[in-house]
Amino acid sequence: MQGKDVVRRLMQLAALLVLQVVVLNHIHLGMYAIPLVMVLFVVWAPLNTPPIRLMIASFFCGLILDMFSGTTGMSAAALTCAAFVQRPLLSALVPKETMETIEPSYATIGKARYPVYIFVLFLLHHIVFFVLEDFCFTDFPGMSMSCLTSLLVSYPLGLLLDYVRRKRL
Amino acid sequence: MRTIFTFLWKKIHWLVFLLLEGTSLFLVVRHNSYQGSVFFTQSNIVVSKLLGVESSLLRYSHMISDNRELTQRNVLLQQQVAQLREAVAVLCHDSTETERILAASLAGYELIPARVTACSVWLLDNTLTIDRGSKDGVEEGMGVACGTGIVGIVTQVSTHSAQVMSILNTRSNITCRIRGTGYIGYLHWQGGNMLVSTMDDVPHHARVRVGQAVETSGYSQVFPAGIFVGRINKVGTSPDGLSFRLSVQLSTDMARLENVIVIKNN
Repeated sequence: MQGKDVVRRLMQLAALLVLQVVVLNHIHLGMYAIPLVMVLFVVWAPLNTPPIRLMIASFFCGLILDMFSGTTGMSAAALTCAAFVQRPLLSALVPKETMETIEPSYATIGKARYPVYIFVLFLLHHIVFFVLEDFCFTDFPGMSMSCLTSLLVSYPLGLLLDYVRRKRL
Repeated sequence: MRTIFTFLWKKIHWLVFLLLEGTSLFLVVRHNSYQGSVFFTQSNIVVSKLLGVESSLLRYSHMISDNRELTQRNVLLQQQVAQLREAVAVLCHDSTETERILAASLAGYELIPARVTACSVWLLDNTLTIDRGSKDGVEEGMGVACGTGIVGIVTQVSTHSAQVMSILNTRSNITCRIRGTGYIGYLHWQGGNMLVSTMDDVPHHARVRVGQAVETSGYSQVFPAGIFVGRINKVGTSPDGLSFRLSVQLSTDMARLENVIVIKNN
């Protein structure tokens, strides 16, 4: 990973952190939904990122977010899970010969597959986060409601932020 | 060996993932009070079930000696009761008065039998687990006793089990009195010998001697008055010199507890 790529990734991380902590953490729609967009850090990870490095980076990003949100360990667990799944997911969606150096986007993964890729990572992140946050395995309807309503808000927001990122690139 | 290391090296990302997830889960349980209490409660339930199975397997080996001891005690108590009835009948014109007093001391208390599934005696803060919980009417703060004396006070309750703070616990503080004199003191354990506890705050003017019986005072509503606690085996003075510090030989052997009774104050 080149120096400018590292700087770019750090700036993405900082922007997502500021957005999540300063703006989105204060939005509670219908007492259930909270927009969670930090998983975009995993979505935008280049394909040549070693999985272990991505997992460790996601873990610490999640920890930093948890420090500001008061949800110790939850974001770290959810982001680590998303980082673990990112590479196998991309292997399933992308032809092997294009796997080495591409940045995930509509152009590299495909117009139909890229939204699916984002959706699966968002879904997994939200499921892990809300399972840990609710921590009550008998209250499945309540937990599902929180997870799905947050996903309904976070996913379109994630697509919008991805559009903004592409325009800036 | 090399094959194992090669295999582990190939799957290293799994190991890293499990390590990071395990660390995150540890942080969730440790630093979030709700998740921590749910985890602790659920793990207590699982552990108490396992301990229940273990104690069931060991229980039968103690049954013969327990039955022998109970039969001897029963015979002794029957003889004592018969002698006492005779003595009271002589002293009291109306013998039903004594029966009324005896029944009144246990009125308003319900007794819930239970078995001990786990018990520690080697720590400074000892606890025990019993196989009765909220479903059986057990609540926090209830007293627990056995055939030989008091055992402790219930501190945590789940559906089918409960944790009891033993009298061998430095945080245990039970109001007792010296039988026949009515002088009140506080029984608390300071560690060390599991058959000996300390009773403080007995006034200096009280007539105290070695061998006197100590019983529950009934002031706290946790234990009815008159439950045997032990006998005084040494009389000393408190560090400030203002009251007695009595060493009490406990009547309950906490290391051999099996059957106890939870006392529910109605």
